[in-house]
Amino acid sequence: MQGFLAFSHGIDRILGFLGKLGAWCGLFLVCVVCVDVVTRYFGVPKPFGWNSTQFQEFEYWMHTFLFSLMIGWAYTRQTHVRIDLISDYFPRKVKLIIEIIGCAFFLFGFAALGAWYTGKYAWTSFIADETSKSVLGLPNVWILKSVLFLMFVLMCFAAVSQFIKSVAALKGTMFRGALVDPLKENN
Amino acid sequence: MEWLAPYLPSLMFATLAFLLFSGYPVAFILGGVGMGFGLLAYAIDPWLFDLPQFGVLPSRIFGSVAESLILTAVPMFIFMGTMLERSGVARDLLNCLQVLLRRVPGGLALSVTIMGTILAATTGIIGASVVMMSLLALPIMLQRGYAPTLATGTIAASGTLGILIPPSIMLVIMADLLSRSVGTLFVAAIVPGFMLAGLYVLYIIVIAILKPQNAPKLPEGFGPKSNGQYVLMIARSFLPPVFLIACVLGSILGGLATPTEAAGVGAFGAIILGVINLVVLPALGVPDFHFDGDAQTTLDDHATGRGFVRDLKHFGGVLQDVLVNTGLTNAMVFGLFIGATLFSYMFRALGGEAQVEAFIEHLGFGPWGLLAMIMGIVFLLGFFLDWIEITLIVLPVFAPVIGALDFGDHVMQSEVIYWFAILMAVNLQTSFLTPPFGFALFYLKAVAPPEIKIQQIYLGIIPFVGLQLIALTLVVLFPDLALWLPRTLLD
Repeated sequence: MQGFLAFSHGIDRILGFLGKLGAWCGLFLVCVVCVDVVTRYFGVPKPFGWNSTQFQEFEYWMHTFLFSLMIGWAYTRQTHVRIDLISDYFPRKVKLIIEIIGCAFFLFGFAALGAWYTGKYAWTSFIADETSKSVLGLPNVWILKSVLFLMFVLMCFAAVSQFIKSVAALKGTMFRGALVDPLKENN
Repeated sequence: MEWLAPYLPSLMFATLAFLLFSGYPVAFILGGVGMGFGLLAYAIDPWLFDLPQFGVLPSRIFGSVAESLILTAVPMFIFMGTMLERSGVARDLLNCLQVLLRRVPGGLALSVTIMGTILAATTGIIGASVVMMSLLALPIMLQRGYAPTLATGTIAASGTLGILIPPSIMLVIMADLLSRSVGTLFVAAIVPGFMLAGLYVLYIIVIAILKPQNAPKLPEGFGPKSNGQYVLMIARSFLPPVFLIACVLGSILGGLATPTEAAGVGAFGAIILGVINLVVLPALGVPDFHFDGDAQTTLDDHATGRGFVRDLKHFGGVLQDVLVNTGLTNAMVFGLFIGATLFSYMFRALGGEAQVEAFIEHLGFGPWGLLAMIMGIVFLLGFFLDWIEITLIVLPVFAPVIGALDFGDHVMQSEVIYWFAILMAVNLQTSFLTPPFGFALFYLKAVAPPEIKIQQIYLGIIPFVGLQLIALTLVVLFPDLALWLPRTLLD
């Protein structure tokens, strides 16, 4: 069990690192929008000789990075909405069992399905060297599509990590001197 | 098992409804149920649903979420709101409004309403905004001797106003789902939104005059002592956020910028206000305006004024904090988007949409009956779900029906969708406030001091629900409340 928990801890750290990277993409997004707006309205040439279409495509690229890198982490941080109207009254054990079933069938199943198909999708794009639909747009669309693949992969890992922690919590296992509680944020 | 096929779509909804209450994250339940029913349909009959059809999922996600420049506005609006809150700008604004309105009956309650209106961008996610408003305003209101009923009612109503008043994230997402212009929808929401805020203000003033014991006036000597201080306070706490929001809204309304551009510039503006508030002003030695009993600083306690470099470092920490929180909220929203993509695709693939249309035709309700039915469903769902889940699950199902509704002379065919979206926003807000389930009230209860009873919260919100219903009726009877401004401004 300790080995599994260490594995889960490792996953969480990777998710946290990538999630924070994604969060900073948000700041980058804001800056890109501002540069685009300022250069357009003042008629100043854009940096690197980019055009407005490329800027706008870069904006949604940044946004896709932002949410793709963070959805998995958001699960381990417990920020996805739950309807706790009734489940609040469940005993802790029932909550943990729901979490285990949810991880195994719902999240992992869905994420694995998504990863399989987005993986193929990104690969097709890479092989075809796909460029944007717009003539002026960005090349290498496969990068954007691969990020969607990465999103599902990270969701799979988040499911595995949460699964391990829920099982450990159900068994009352300690990890590094503390009780594991996956239903609480930040552990 | 073949006999099961026609029941699959309704079974799918029933399963979803049941599993939602398990308390597992909604986003993954949506995705899991979608996948499960795909597999089930395949097991029953591969002609019904074949596995390669799952291959549509990536292109759907790519087309509707990843490639969408409209939805890119969502995290930036969230960022703007969170930044204004965490950098203390929101708190300063509330303090300043208190001082400005101290001679008006019910001035403190009015400040809360006005802050809710101005910072509507902050208040996109119901839970977060109600919690923020409660932490900021409830302790002072109670300390000033406001009746708990009036205090909690004002906070819950003002905290939920943000789903209607632009720049509302909900309107961005609705416009995206209904393939309509975000700008037009924002403009359409302005009159109804301010009308609601106006109704709250009227109610508060009337109550404060009729029952002064419920809304005591602030002491005379409250606020800055000299005129110079007064001007400084307004320049510091009132003008910057109001100017920022006015710029964001104005540039959208004036057609100068798309909502995405306005959101980006607004987010940048919020960073600048944050730097000014936390780094520049302390460095210049401009004092904070703290009066006896103003908004609590526990929400965002900033130890500024320890030198420029340390303040700058502190701001860096705040910025990282805001970015992570924005990203997590945004991940929650788009996690739901991705789960709902598979769910609604599967619902359609199994013939659910056709069934809904056939069912509605079978009912033979006519446009008004249908509108009432959809509004009723939305209202009931609002007891359990936030607007994100409701719009993502319900809108795709009903969108074709709504677009085809014909109200003859009452509403022009081309404008029905905008009118509908505004009705839905007001309706949802009402639903979030209606006891005993309205979940804005639960959030309020969760952070309120223990001596506040849920009964007091229920009692306090009833007049506001009444005002909501008045506003809803007015928009139903006079669609021009929503449609006149876009027609005049944008044509």
